[in-house]
Amino acid sequence: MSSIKKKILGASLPVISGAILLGIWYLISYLYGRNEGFDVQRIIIPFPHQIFSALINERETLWIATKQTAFSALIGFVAAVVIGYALSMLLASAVWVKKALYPWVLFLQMTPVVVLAPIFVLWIGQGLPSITAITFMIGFFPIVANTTMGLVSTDRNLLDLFEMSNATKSQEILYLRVPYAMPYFLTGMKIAGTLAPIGAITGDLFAGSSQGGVGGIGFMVILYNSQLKIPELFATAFVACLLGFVFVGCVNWLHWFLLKNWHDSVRKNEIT
Amino acid sequence: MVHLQNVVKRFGKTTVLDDINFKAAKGEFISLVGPSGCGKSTLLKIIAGLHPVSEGTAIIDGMEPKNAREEMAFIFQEANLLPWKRVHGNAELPLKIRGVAKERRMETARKMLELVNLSHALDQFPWQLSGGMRMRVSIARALTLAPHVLLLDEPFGALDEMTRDNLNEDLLRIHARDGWTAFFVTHSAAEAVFLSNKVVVLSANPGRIDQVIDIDLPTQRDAALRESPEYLNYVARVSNAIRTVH
Repeated sequence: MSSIKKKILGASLPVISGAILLGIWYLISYLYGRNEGFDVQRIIIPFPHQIFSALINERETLWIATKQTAFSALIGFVAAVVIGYALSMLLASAVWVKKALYPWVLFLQMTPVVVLAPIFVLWIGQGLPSITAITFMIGFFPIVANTTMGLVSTDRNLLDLFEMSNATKSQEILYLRVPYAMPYFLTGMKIAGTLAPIGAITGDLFAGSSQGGVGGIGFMVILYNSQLKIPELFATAFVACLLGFVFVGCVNWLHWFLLKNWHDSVRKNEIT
Repeated sequence: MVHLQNVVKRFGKTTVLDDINFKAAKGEFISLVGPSGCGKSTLLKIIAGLHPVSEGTAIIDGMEPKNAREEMAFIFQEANLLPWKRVHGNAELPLKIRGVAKERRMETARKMLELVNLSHALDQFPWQLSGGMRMRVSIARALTLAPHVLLLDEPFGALDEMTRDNLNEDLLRIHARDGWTAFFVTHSAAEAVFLSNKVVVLSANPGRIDQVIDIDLPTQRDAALRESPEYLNYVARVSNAIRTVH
């Protein structure tokens, strides 16, 4: 088979499987509705086209909600990156610092965020501050764990090289440890990037409010659920999924961009 | 000049090096050979000031090793390059750390890379180079500091024989030009004889100087030397010394 044919087949496979899954959905929806009556069916398992029209009808509301959630996800994510990196630097600065602090970082991580969420709301109130804090809590640990690992696992010989050159501590950090830890840091960022929209939506479930008319995605979930607007709920899920893709896509691009010249994870099969 | 006096090195309770006495004059090329675990690399790192001595003294140009760093350069087992830096960036690194202005360090790095025949690869990344080329970058990087003492820790151990022979010849050419003192750790008797005017044979557990073999071959050496009977004689002698050392 020629490589072009292979490519076409490769690209069409997900489309075909998607069509099959859609067909199965229609079938289940139809069969369920036949037993329960079509009014019920429309509520419990809506047809895909119903979801699509819900998406179109609610597009303005969902767009505003998505923007709000994206905004809090972004703020929480950036906070997790910045504070996570700073803490990693601190943890990697000396063995005793890591020994003293790391168990408590773990402790914090092991506490489920959904348990802490109401406390955040109690302390800093409804809305953006709490949502951001919850997003931060979810994304923070992967950044710290990975970056710290990268910073402390710098190659022994490279450290000797820097010592032989009489490098200062800050030169060693800037020219060696930080770039060496970059792939680890970016891996942490990828995980945090996947979690950030989830964190923002979770935060929204607890701390979302409709001040100014519309809340974030999590708030819309509560609202549509209470009104039994199930197609709208599915449409919301679809939008949340897209937001996740955008987030992960951006972080993946950053990963590729920063490492494209030198790291094995992004350059493959290139021969000079 | 490098002067080692009664040097003892212990790691915990294990004595790795015992009673090492040795003097190297300026411009000498000294190879350190011996069975695995005899402390050759440790001795090199003591001279470099990367390991402190347990007893005795090591003096480089009248200074303690740590204070003599500016006069020394270390070439590691692997090329030990920064994978995110291009060839010239890697060669410039020691000068950058020393705070030399950008234009000057670029010029020096370019000269040294020319010396090791890498002028065509300035903008490549390490992963684009062969093992031999990587090692050349490593040598150029060490030379940018114009060292008095060059410490080489089995630099060509992972390379194929032809590449290794070429690098040996280049190393001698640069040595004739610059006249640094070299300490060269190797497992290969042939390589040691080809490069050195003295071969130090170490015994293992603990590492002691078993004997020092003077290599009385002409200072101008090239590939043809490898076929001369004197050379082969020395190689046999050094191999034998390594094998029979206890």
